[in-house]
Amino acid sequence: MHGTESKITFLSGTVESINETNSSVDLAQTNTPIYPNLFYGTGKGSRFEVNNASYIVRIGSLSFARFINDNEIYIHSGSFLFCSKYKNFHLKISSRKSSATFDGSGTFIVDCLENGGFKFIPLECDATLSTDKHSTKKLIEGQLLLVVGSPSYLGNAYDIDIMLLLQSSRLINNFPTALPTFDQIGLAIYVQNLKLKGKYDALIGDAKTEKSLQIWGFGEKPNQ
Amino acid sequence: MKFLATLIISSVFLNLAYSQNNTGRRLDAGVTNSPSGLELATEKKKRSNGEEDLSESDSGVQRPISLKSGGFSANFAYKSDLTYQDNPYAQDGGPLDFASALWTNSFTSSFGLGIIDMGDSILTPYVGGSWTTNEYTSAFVDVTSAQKGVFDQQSFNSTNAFIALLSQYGNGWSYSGIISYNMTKLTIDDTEALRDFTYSLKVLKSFSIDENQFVWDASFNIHSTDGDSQGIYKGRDEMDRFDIASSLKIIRELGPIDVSPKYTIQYSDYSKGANDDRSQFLHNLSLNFNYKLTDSFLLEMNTAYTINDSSGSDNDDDYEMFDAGAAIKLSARF
Repeated sequence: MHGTESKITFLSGTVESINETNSSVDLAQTNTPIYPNLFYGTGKGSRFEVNNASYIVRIGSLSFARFINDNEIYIHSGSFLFCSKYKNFHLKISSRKSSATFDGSGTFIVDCLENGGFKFIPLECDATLSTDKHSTKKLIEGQLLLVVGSPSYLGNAYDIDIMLLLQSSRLINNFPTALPTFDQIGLAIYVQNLKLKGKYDALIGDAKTEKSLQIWGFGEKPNQ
Repeated sequence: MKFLATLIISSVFLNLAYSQNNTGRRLDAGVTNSPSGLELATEKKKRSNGEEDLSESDSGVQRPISLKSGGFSANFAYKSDLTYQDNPYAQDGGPLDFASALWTNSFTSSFGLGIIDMGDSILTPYVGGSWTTNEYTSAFVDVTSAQKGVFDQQSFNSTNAFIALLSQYGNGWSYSGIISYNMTKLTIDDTEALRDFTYSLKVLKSFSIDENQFVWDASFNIHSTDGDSQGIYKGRDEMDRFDIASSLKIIRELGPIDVSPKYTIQYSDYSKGANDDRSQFLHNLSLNFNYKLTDSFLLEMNTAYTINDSSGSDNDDDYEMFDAGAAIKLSARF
């Protein structure tokens, strides 16, 4: 596989490709190849999809990313979705400060954090994630992992509502084609429902530092 | 996305609109339903409201949840239902063809014994049971004292136990095998009026069109039934039969209320005693309104119309019936 095999198959809004060497900026177009020396930036409400033989990558709004090669994605800010049915796929994900390596097959979302790390959210997978300090962790569908620090390590893990995430995710809903792993995601939701004990009246937000994570509460305030 | 909602909400083996319709048909074949304990175990919690975009990020809203560590689950429910029935004893004329009300109280439990990942499907074994009191009353209806006496004679308790194996696929198809034991005992003298073992294979598909969720199913059921010699059916094996059934249910949310019309058709074939040549087609059209006050407290309104067209038996088993009622249901899942 080579970088030129990856193509932009869907684009919505304004997506710019930036050449770091000569500082040129062009508007990205559909059916054009992805080049490893270019950064791709999306405007507000803009997003695009990259396809090749092994995977689909969807870059979300207000994101800045680079496809270093077919097995490595750098994301400076924003979010992306990765989907591959290819078994034993190897992908390195790096952000401003942290990095992790995905091995296996599956669908997951990466969401950048203010602290330079990122959230790693597997929707369905048969895979592991490894960081500098954690050799290998078996991924659990619907379990959000924080990848923080440099050298990188895994922070806390949170089981999250996959159904709600999918209903609200523009990386899922604002693209014209369905993901090829939709059946598997459906099973992950089914299993999560069978195991469900309860839902917290809270939403997970950003992390400004390695040791903190914003949790937004909602619902009725407890009596004082 | 709608497919996923369908999978979760309507998914697997819901027959709620029908569950009350055959409880009162103590001695007639009626419609073959999944055990209520199985319905309880596979009933899904109402989906979270994800219509709004709560996050600036494209990644989606991340709401923390609490999960059980293993695959074992326990479900308990109590349901109280008061239903008007214009033909409670499934008659076509005669002294038993008069309207009644049926007050039903049921206690149901079921246990999920594990979650087995088969790659492209999930296997879940279940066991469970229920105990139900069925008391005919003169609420809503005017009856003679003789008919009140019939109520006392016909009121009954029923017991159910089942084991089931469910296989759910990600594309919305599911398959199940169920062995169910059902026993009916008259309350007036503790006579065991009917004992039935049912062996069922069922296939179900859920899908959605626009805002409507559809649940289609088909099942094949073999009944091994003993009628007590003191009951109406004097031959012990006369109710042995097989049936083939199919239903289509539409679920639509109207504000906080789930509205579910459902049509069922069932063909039954008997082979023993006075029912040697009996076969019948049963059509049922029902409408169910569900209002979930909390995850554990549900209000229901049900109405149903049934036509049974039977031939080949010594008796006239044709009948029509109309039911309408309301229920409260309390449930808990662990």
